[in-house]
Amino acid sequence: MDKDQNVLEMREVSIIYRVGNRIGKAVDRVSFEIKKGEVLGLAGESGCGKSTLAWSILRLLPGNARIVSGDMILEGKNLLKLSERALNDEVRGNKITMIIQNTKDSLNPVFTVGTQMFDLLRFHEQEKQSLIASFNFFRRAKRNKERRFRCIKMLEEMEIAAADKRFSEYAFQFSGGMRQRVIMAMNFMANPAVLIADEPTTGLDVSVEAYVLELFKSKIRKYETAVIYITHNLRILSEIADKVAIMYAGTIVEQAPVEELFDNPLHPYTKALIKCLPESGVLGEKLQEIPGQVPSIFERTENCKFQPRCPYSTEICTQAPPRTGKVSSSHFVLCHNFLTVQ
Amino acid sequence: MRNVAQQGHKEFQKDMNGEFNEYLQAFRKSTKLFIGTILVVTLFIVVICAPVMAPHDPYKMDVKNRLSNISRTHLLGTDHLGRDTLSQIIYGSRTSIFIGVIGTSLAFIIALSLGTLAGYARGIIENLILLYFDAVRSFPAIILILVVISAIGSSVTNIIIVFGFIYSSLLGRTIRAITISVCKEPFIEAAITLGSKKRTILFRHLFPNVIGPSLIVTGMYVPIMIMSEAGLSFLGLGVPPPTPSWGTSIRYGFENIMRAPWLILPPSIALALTMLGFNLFAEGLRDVLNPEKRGELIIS
Amino acid sequence: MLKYAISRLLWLIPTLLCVILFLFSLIHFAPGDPVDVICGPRASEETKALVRDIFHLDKPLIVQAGYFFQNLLKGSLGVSIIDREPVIKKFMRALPNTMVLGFFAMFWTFILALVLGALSGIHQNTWIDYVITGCSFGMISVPAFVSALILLLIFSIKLPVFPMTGVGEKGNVLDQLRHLILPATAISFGWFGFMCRTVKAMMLEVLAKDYVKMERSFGVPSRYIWGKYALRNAVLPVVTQIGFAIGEFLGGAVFVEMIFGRPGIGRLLANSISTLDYPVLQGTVFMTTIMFVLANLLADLSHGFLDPRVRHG
Repeated sequence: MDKDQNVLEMREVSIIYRVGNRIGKAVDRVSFEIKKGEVLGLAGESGCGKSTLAWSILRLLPGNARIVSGDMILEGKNLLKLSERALNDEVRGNKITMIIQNTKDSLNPVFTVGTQMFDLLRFHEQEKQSLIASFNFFRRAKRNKERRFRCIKMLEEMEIAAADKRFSEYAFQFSGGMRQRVIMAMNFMANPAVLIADEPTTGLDVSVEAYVLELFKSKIRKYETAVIYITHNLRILSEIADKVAIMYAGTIVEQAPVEELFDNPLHPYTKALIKCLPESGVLGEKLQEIPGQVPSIFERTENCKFQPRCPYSTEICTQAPPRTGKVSSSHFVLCHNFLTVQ
Repeated sequence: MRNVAQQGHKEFQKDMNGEFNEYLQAFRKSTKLFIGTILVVTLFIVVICAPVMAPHDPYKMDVKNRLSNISRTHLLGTDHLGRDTLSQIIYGSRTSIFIGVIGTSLAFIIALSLGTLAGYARGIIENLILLYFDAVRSFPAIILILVVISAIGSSVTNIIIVFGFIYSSLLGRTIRAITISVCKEPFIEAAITLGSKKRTILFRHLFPNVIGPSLIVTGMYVPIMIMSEAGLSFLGLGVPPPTPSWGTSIRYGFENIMRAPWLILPPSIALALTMLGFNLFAEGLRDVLNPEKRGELIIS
Repeated sequence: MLKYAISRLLWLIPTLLCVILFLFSLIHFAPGDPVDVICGPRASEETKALVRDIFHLDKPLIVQAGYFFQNLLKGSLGVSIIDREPVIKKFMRALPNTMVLGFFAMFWTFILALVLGALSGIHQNTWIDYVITGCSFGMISVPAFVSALILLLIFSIKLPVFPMTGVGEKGNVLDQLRHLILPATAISFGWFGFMCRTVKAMMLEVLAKDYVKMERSFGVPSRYIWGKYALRNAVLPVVTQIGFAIGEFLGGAVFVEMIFGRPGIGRLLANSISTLDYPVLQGTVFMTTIMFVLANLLADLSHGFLDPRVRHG
């Protein structure tokens, strides 16, 4: 896999949800690509579909959701063509892993942290051994010792003090930041091609957040992992992402390398988001907000979904769906009027 | 894009599906509640219309025809003294419901007073009341009931009193828990801050909010009491004969099980269906009144 | 946690004291004179006086209670009025029958409830779920003695598969098993209904948790999630229920033992009531209450023990 090939490619992926007898489009023809070691920031408000998209890559959507169109190409292979079994054994926890948001239930409370990490190694062992070999207790004990050693080493790498003691402790004995680092350890232990981070630092104290973010940055550089970093916090993306995709109501409205997005935002929504950041304003000025609400998934149409809240909307915005404008080879905007908007 | 009329229509639809309709929707969709209501309503019809429904006088003995099989005059046969089984079952429902409802009401009154007091007053009063609850609860219920009834004699009144006091202890604990959680609500705090008298808070604010959930829990005790009465009668310590009772009928069936094995079936089925009906009804009602479950029912 | 256990055990003593005083006062109010029962209606006054003296039936309650505790410290629970056999002996002879029944029934109920409850939770809203949930609901509603009678009718009388009464020959395990099956099934219906629903509810709750999502995202095979990770979390409240169920079984055993003719504690109690055999009544209730409170205590503690959060923190 050379540096220029895409590790993951999403092409026109659409996902629907079904509630009762109503059907809503949660994700509408989303496309992006990531190369090895690249960090794609996926930003947007709550309800814009970024988590849905993330879970759909691992095909772990809730029972009433369906991927209805598109392709997901991982290292040349189409994920949607894989059977559930193959997906589970080869992709999940192996080629693609996920860091979920920190909650009090993010780790299993009745098993030690060590057991959980250890089991992950067991499930993804590469060699298939014969039945007789599995009875070889010495081999088994030795292998278990090696696995345990690997786990503890990884905990140390995540800068968890007294790692071997921590290995036998339970989740409730860890602080929030430490729990996230444990999950990060599980992720990097698998050395995935793509790591999906779904709001990994949300809910942590600000100082802890900064620390975990730095650690994360150094690790993805070390392991050259491609990352999809999902958050609603643009500031974090400015620090960690290589390129950013802004999502609104299920569609990607703008995609650009990170500096260009902040220097030259073209989509009205992106502009509004950046203006909303406290850093953008002047001291003493009222904080900016975007009037209106995100349309519910049942109320979305083919036309521009941001139109009701857009200060620059024109007549064409209500009559025809917007087309993707290509500003440069890496900067895309989904808007009728991006050229004329100031 | 949508026009104003379409938008208005959408809003109108939202109003139509207001609170009331929500309950109705959930009610229609809940099989539990549906079947439960049918069973309970049937039971009450039988209880009320017993004199009209029963083909014979349940007390009338006809010893020549004892333990007879299903026939046209005696649809379910006769017991060991020649009394018509069907009439016994129909009148037996009256006994069960009477004891179940009155007993539960007594338990509710005791439990509500003590439980609210305990949950609200805290301190020594609470500890004393809890002592009473725990003392009663430290016996297996059936044994306690057995021993007490055997001591003071069994009659409908005695049974109701014993049931009321014994089951009030468990119910009282639950009501105390409900009271404590209601006390934590902000509006109670607001009332205290505003300087309301203790009595006002208790009666105007606390009671109405505690009674609702308490009633639902209390409903669960009706089938328990019906079952306990049947059990007592089965052991011979329940409603004194010749008053018809399902438990006594089952007992007679058991005593004559070799000669007339089918006799245990009608009262057993009646008892099982009654309990099933009440359980379904209580559970179904609890689901419909719970906002989360109600949503699930409507969506499904 | 140890402190909690000890304090609960200490509470046992005043509880038992109240129990005994309560029992004695009850018997005092009971109609019928036990002396007449023992001696029969044609006994002479002297015999009656003698009996009254031996059994202290004429002394005030407190004194009778005092004699009871005196005997208790000597290790005796009194002697039956009817046949002069020490109550302790009767109790010890009856106890194994009841305990065997209880544990046998609970063992199978627990396993079945765990498996079927988990299945119904995993396959929610499929026919598996509907059948299992429907059955458990039905089972809760049918009282134990009713199911006992129906089982007796079908499997013992109409189709002579299982024996009607008794415990089976001593030493013949197979025969004893045969005698256990029907009563154990009757008891387990109610328990199964309850536990199955609890397991299902807990399974559903656990399967929606974040850590299960995390485990799935790492490709943990479903059978591990169901069998190991989720189940361990779901089992907690069920184990607590076991303790309480066994406690309450001590009371309910009365019916089942009467119907199936098993000479256990329940039947001992029922007989002592009908024959007005006060010492046996007192002794049995006393012992049963101790066991009941201990069973509840164990259930309470087991919950704390199984949850590592309570164990360590």
